[in-house]
Amino acid sequence: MGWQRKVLRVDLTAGTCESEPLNMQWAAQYVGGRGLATRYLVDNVDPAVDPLSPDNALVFATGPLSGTLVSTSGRYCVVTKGPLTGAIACSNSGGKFGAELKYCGYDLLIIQGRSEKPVYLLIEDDEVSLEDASDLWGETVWKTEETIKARHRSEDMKVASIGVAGERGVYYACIVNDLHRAAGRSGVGAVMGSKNLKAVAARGTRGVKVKEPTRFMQVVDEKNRKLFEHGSRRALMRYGTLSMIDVMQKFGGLPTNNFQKVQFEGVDRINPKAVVETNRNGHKNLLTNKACFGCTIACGRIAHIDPNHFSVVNRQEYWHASGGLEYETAFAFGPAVGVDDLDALTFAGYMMNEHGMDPISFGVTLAAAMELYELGLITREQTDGIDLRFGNAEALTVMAEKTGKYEGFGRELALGSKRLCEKYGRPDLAMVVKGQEFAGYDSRALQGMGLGYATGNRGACHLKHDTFDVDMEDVSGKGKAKPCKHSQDDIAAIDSAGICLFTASAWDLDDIAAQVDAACEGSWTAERLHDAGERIWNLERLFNLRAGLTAADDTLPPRLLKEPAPSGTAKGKVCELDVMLPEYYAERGWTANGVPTPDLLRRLKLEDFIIESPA
Amino acid sequence: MKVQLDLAGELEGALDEALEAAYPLETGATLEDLVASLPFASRVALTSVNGELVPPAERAGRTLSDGDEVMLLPPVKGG
Repeated sequence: MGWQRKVLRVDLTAGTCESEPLNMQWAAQYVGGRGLATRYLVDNVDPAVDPLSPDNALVFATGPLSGTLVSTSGRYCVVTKGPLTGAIACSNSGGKFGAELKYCGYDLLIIQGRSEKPVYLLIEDDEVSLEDASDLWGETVWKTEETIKARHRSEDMKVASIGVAGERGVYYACIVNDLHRAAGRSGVGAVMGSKNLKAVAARGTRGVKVKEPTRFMQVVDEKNRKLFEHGSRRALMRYGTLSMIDVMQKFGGLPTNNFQKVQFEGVDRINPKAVVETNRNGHKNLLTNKACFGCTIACGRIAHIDPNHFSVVNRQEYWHASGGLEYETAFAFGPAVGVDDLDALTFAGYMMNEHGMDPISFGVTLAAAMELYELGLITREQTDGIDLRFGNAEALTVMAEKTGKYEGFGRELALGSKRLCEKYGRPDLAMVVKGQEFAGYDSRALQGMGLGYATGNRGACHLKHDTFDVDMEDVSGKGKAKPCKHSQDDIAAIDSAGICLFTASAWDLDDIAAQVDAACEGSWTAERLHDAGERIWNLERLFNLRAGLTAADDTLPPRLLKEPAPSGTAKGKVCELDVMLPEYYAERGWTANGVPTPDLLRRLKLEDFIIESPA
Repeated sequence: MKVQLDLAGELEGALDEALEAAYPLETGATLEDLVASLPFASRVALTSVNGELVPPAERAGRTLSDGDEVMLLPPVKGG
């Protein structure tokens, strides 16, 4: 109940697709989604493996609530060893694909090996096959989805695919489903490309059974009302996540010009007010909002680009409506690179969706390249004649397209910030943790965010912990370790249930546990979910330690540790990671070197993974 | 006395512009009094006075003065 109790295992080297029973003991311990996928990854992949080799595995996972009536239940996640970081990757996506995979009758999809030629995986309930994708190789995400749906005469089919970026190993290539939702971070699309797997297409007709249907309906109705009435839900529906750009601007936590500044002069030209203003051509950027499967929040944005804008003049193929600006895309294509041209930002977003790239990593990598350019370490000859200065909208649009198509200087940007900055002799300019780029929050202003970035198992990430409330009460490292650790564990559980993190603005773990309990076998409480989250977090950490990462990787770039914030609420402050990190390790029950102790692992039923004599 | 409000995010536009520029309060009013008087009090997460953060627990003890600049921001999550 909740779970479909079935795993689809695909060996691309052998060309086989076989189903097997879900390990229900693991389901009871790891819930589903992120947690269960991590447990299967650990069982199937040597952490020391080259992420782009056939020995890596790619796990698509739904949660027990995926595809049910619970709000936001369209989620799925992709877990693998990430090429961007060399650490565990866990990328979560909305849209409709996750629910459809569940309706095919599978909780998890494990993809191993490498196909000799390009293929796509076709799943229609129990009918599973590997189809020739030679004609799709080199095509965009958008063309791939359209072609597969037409080929199988099914508009209802849901497709998750990669573009050229994934095929060519752009280190932050993502997997895009439903045209503009993505398992975005850590390069999971590059892993898919390394396996010669162009797409997964799913069409399912099975339902999802729940343990107590009547109680489940009652609980879901009650929780939906709570979510519906919450102010944060209304704000997300009305403004999307973009409204945070004004908040971060006022607070002084909006990273600008590769984190050299924390406030952006051009914010008024790309904020929620700007996207609904009519420009001199009579064009308005934002068209409407959009919900993912089963979602009652509807934070997604649908926009279109002014046909007169330089990026799309005489390019009618980009005049249609598609995914609009959200906070992270606005940050990465705006303040991070100093650009305030709304349509240029929107075009860059189109490029990310069409070619399959993580907008955060692309934007922050471009920001690093711009700083290298302004320092004279990259020349105009190298950038295909483009003036790569901060604020140049053409540099943003051209480089987004070149990187997506893996052309010209785009091949350099495909490396990601860490590798790019190392190549040009300034590793300190890479705004990353473990090789993954920061999201749009400066950790001199949001100190707990800095701790969450530094300790993130998939590298810098704003979605695996939640210290916003305490960060905006006090601009210091004091008291941040406990909420950081606690929220990391809670969010690991939420990611594993198969629902969206944005429900957590209204729901606490009790609300989620009540819905899991009505859907799934066993007795589920908030405490049990939290414990599962802690188990998941520690298992991810153990994977990373075995992959060769150490406490030395739990750090931030010198800019955030040594260069004080130049303005805003945190003016004059640096991130106090030296204060927070020891407190965090102690809070976790880890050694001073960040290794989980045997006692902790026994408590978490992770005794099989004990690292003897942790220093 | 009057204080100048600075609203952002979902709170922007919640008050008339003139009221936001000069919000009237009784002499001796605290930051907590100010927040409680707003129709969107439950959506105020962050408060600062003249650029200095004031946590919720300290709002009652923070007396406002004529001309103070008070920033009010809504809760922030994810992105």
